[in-house]
Amino acid sequence: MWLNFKLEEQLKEIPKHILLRASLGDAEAFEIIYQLASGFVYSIALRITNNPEDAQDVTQDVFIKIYKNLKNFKFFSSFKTWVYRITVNTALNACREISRQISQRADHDSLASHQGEGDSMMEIAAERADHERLIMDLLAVLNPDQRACIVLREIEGLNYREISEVLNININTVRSRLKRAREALLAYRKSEVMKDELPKDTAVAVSRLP
Amino acid sequence: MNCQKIQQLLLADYPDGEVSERIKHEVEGHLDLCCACRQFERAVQDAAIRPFKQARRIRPPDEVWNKLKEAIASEEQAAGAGFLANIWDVVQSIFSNPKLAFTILIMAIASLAIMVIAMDVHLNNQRVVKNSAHIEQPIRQVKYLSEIIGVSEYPSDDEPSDDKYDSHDGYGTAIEEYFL
Repeated sequence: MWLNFKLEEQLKEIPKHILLRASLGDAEAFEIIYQLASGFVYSIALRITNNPEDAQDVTQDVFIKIYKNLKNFKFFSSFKTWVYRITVNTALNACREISRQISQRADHDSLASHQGEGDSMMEIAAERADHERLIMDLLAVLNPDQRACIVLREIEGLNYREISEVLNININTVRSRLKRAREALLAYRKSEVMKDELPKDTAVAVSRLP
Repeated sequence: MNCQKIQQLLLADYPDGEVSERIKHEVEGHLDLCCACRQFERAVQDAAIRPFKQARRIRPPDEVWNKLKEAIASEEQAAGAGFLANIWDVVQSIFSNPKLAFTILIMAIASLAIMVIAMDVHLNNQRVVKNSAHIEQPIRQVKYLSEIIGVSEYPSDDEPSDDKYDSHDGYGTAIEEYFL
């Protein structure tokens, strides 16, 4: 299940002949693409949706889109950037759809049923490793757009220009989303990271954060 | 740069390596001297940056690949059925509208008639080309006879025709000269 990150990093670009074969409908070549790219597609989908079931659905949608559109891929940009773009957009759309469904449900459901949903999420989270739980908790603090920026920057290691290309937004927007995301994370964890060691003026600066 | 500006850079740009060398040195110089900003930087790193460095890439469960294969197979099936269904829908929609059906029928008949006429013209042309081969024979015979009697309406290939007519003043053609 877990892949060594550095090993996966070596698989930066899928060979062009594999992509061409897959674009002509070669099922074997498409399976190779899936084997090489499914790790980073699923990881990004998981971090942005913050839910394994949604991430599986997003992964499936992404690969169906790749299968359908590979014949139109012109190699003007890298395949990886193209897949990043499809993945992030599909995951963000899934988040919007989920939040729409949740808000619709909120109109009808009782508070008690929400309490139950929260408990089950807590149970799922409790089964995960400590650091995974921490990452999920932190990502849950952010909105989907901020989450996408943090995932692409911190986990995928993309620079601001690459993030702006994948998300099709201005570099200044990338900068401000990262700043707001980190302010939110700092505010969320201020009780842990501040403790009593921060000097008075820093504590005041942190306390001003949302 | 004051502490507020430095702390803005500590939230974005500086931790991502997106500042120039000059700004980087300026921030580092400030951090060496300012305990508050140093601790702010540590808090940002601990709360918002370092936890994600431990994140690993996760492969999806095997069932995702199986579901994907099924989804692609059903998509392809639906696409094939959809194509045939679209053709059937178009045919049905045409015949459900009598005016449209009549117009298309007339157009089809007209197209067929044009095609038949075009074919006929083409066959006629071919027949004419074949017949032209039979015309050459009598021409050769007339040419031979005219050579025997010493007058030629059909000049031979090795003799320029202009010289022959020029040598007879005012009589026009060689056949005229013969009769007169």
